[in-house]
Amino acid sequence: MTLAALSSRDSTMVFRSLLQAFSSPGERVQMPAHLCDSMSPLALPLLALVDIETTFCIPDDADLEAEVAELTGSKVVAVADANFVLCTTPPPQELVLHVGRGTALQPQLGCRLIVSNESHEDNLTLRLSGPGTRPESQLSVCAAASDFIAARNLAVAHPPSGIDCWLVSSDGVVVGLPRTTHAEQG
Amino acid sequence: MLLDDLIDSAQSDELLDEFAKREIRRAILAAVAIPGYQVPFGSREMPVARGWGSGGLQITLAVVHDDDVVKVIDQGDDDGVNAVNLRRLVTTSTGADQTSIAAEASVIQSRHRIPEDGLDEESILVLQVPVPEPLRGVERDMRELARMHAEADYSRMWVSLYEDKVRNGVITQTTGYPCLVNDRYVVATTPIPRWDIPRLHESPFLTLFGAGREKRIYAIPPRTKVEPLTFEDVPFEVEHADGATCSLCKSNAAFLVSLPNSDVWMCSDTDWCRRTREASA
Repeated sequence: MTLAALSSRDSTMVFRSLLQAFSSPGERVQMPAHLCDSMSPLALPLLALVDIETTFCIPDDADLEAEVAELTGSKVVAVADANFVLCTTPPPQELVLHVGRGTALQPQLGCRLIVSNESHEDNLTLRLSGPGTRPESQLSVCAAASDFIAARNLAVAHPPSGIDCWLVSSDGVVVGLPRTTHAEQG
Repeated sequence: MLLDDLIDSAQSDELLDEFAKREIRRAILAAVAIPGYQVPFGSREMPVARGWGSGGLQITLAVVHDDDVVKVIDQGDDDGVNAVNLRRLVTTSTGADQTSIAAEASVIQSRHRIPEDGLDEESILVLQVPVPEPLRGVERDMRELARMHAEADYSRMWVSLYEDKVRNGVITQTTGYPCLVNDRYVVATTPIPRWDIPRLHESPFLTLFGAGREKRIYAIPPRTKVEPLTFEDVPFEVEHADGATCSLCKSNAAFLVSLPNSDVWMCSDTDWCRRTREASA
């Protein structure tokens, strides 16, 4: 599917979905359906948030990376330097541990990781706790993402620095996993 | 977002261009991901003076879309001059509807109060913040303040509260009472009164704090632990006046303010007071 620049209203709608996902980690939030039907939902967070002031990286899809760069004006950089990293498959441990985590003085510089998350029968169930989560909150991720989750837990082990993640499925459902959320296999 | 798009947006009625919105949105997301941390942002010039709600206005404009319903209050009053002007700016530039009823609003911008009722999981509360730094009273150096937050070194804050208690018999801070968010960051809850502090704890709604003059955004997500700083043997207390009831609705269940130089009390939240009167009529 071809991408297109988002209108002001569409950007706002996508942003609100992402905000809701971070406010209530583990909650399945549907991004605007009309956008998910016409372009890859995985790219929507980038199209809504990045611009010439930010950097990003899509290490496993050079075509998508070039398209997002052209539409947004955002600069493509190495994984370790990127404000936003998009992975079309669950990223390996080395990548997750390589992205920027910010510092205790500037934790806001931690990377935003956007990861594809498809439902499968062999899904892992994670128990979530922390700010915004509901009691007994759970998150289902594909088994292939178990390494990613383990690496993510290492990357957020020394707050306030850390990384914040959005898990996006092909039907446009986004789930937030900010750094303050504890995710344990249930 | 390319420069051509920026030129297009410059032709619109919107107060913030797309670059500004995106930067503020990224700061908001960082603030929600790190509850209580003050995220710096490039505060823009607004058609209101800094200190008159420019930070809250920028957050509201970055968050709101034309399906939203907006409520703006100032000192609990929907009809205050500042509230009316901010509401008009928001609705005319975004196309959002307006209301005075908190339960109908999806985004509520406020100075000094949290509405008495009606906020739920769908609500976003935007508070205008004049002084976001809770440690300003004990330290002036910005670098040292940053270090204290980074290391969660709040010992001088505790000493300050202790000295206040020793000198005055009570902790005298009223509005902007310091709170510990998610056991990590101390935040200034300025400018809401103590009455509203317990309502931030494990609240169902998202609270965004915007300080335009100081260029800071911070947040308290829903269902987040918020504890006012106090000592084990000095319980936190909210404002209370024995026997005071609202002169209009006769209620004592809401935050009351007294008229100057009189014993007449009235509800601070004027819309709540009006609905209470209508319900009992």
